[in-house]
Amino acid sequence: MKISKQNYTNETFSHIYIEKDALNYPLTNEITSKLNKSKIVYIDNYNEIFSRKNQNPFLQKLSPSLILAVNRGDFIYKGSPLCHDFEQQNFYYTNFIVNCLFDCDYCYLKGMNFSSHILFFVNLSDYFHEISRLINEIKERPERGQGKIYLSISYDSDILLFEGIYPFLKEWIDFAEANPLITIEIRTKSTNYKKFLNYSPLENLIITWSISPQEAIEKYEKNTPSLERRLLAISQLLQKGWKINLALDPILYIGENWQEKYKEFINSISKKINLKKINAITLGVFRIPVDYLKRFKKFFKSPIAFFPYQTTNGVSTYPEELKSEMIEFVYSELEKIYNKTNIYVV
Amino acid sequence: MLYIISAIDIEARAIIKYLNLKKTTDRPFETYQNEEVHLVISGVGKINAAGATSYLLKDTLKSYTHNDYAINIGICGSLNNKFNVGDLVLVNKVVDYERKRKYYTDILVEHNLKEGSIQSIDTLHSNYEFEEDLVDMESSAFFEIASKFLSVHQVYVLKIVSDKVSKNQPLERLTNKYIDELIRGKLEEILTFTKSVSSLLKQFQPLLQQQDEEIIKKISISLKLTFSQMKQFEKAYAYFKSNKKVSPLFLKEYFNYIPKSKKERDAIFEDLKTKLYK
Repeated sequence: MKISKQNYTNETFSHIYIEKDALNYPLTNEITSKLNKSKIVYIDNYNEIFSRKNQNPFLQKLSPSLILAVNRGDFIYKGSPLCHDFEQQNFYYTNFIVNCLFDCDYCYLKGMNFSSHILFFVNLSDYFHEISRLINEIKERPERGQGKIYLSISYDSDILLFEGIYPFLKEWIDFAEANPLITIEIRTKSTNYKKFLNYSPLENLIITWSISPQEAIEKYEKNTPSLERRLLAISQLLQKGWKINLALDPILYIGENWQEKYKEFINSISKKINLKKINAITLGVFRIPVDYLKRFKKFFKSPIAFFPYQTTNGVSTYPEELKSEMIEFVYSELEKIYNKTNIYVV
Repeated sequence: MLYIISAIDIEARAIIKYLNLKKTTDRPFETYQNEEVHLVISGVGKINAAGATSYLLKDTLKSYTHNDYAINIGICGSLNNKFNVGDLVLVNKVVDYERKRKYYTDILVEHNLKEGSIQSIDTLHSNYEFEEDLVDMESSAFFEIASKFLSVHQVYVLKIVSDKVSKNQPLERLTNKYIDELIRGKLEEILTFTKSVSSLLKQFQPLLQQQDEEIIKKISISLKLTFSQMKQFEKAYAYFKSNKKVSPLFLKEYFNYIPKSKKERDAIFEDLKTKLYK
């Protein structure tokens, strides 16, 4: 994982803030021994750093610190109506890592969190315990989908970026293998796919690659791998039999000739990967809670923050006409080359 | 602008001299300044530090540039063996010992300084516990107040260890000459650090600058825009600047344009918005 370093700024993770309670977890030692050049500052509660109101998350992106904490609150949440639920009755998400080293202009995390520092919860075993409890609870209630759960584990971060210092993948793969009633989704833009090659593909573990036209990547997805590299990673794992979804989400208004650019983009996908092997494709235009958008405007300089969106029921998105046009256009291009029963619109 | 707060005159003397700061006021606090630096001598203790910090930073909220940053510079005692007398320490954790409040700066800037934590105490004679690396009497109040005016990456505490503190041992009496020499010995390192912070802040400015605000204001007045139109205009202006990476200076031609009717104003306004959102 390489992040470009600006003049005058510290290295990524130059500082690690550690909750005193987190010191009791072996994962804390493992992480600090891997980041042995970082300065350590002891804290009582991660919110002392993470939730300060007088921070500048835009500048923190230049030199994010790491916070190691123990999650004492909720471990799993009901999926947001703004996210795709694949028509699953029991759609949940969890966040053992919060925030990301990628710097996408449209990322809701920048509006949701007061800080851009990266937060790791080190009590991963408590997450597994809580999810097992939920599985058992749902199993006893047949009206709730025969105990099946769809759990996204990377909405609040691109977790694959951190596998080198927070080795979570094996534990989640083991958990998925032992719990066939749960389907786990890992959403990513990263090209850190090689660790998956150490394991056999699982029916109930889906990797969803978020992809955008290269122009959008260059303009709005700072520090992320190119489209070409993402497609290469996808094709490698497809060949090995992993279940892969594509998320064309968010579809962005990238100028007046956006149709042309999205058409070209969809063509390039079909040339680089075998779309027949893709499990599902989700589509959605940029959308964000209006309060988060206010924070974008306060700190960020991207046109994403200042587009004249329409707000309905607290959610801002493109004006209805443009939104429908964008979805319909991308959908119609996709259905020419992909089974439309597996295309989901958010 | 760099804002410096020091508790006593002798802690600031070398800085005042080196930066050629001129005395500007005596009351309520002694202040010194040049074009880039404002310095205040607060007096000893948290109440003085809070008052002086507030006094010094009162104009920063109006600033468009976000180049402002504040540093508490002074001497401190060392509570453990991590630091030696003469060490310059960039404080990464400030604890108000009595109120049990904790503050953390955001050290985004690269530096070669040692880092440590400090506890601020109310009186020198209390039998306090040694919880952090260093001890002083001002930094927590400084940090609490400064971070109401500035973001945490704009607030720093730099301390030079003047003495080792031991439990049940009488405090050393430090001479002015000794303190002055300690500060002078670290001036270069202090100023290298301030230059790095300044460079970082200059590199990342807010989207709308003073010039932009002036254009928006002038056109809003000239076209007699309603409050709602003015807000829409601000958003469209910000969209243009974020998208094109330059200010829409073509708008200057509207500076002296006075619409003959509300209808004409509304038409011009819609036209302006279309141009800005293109």
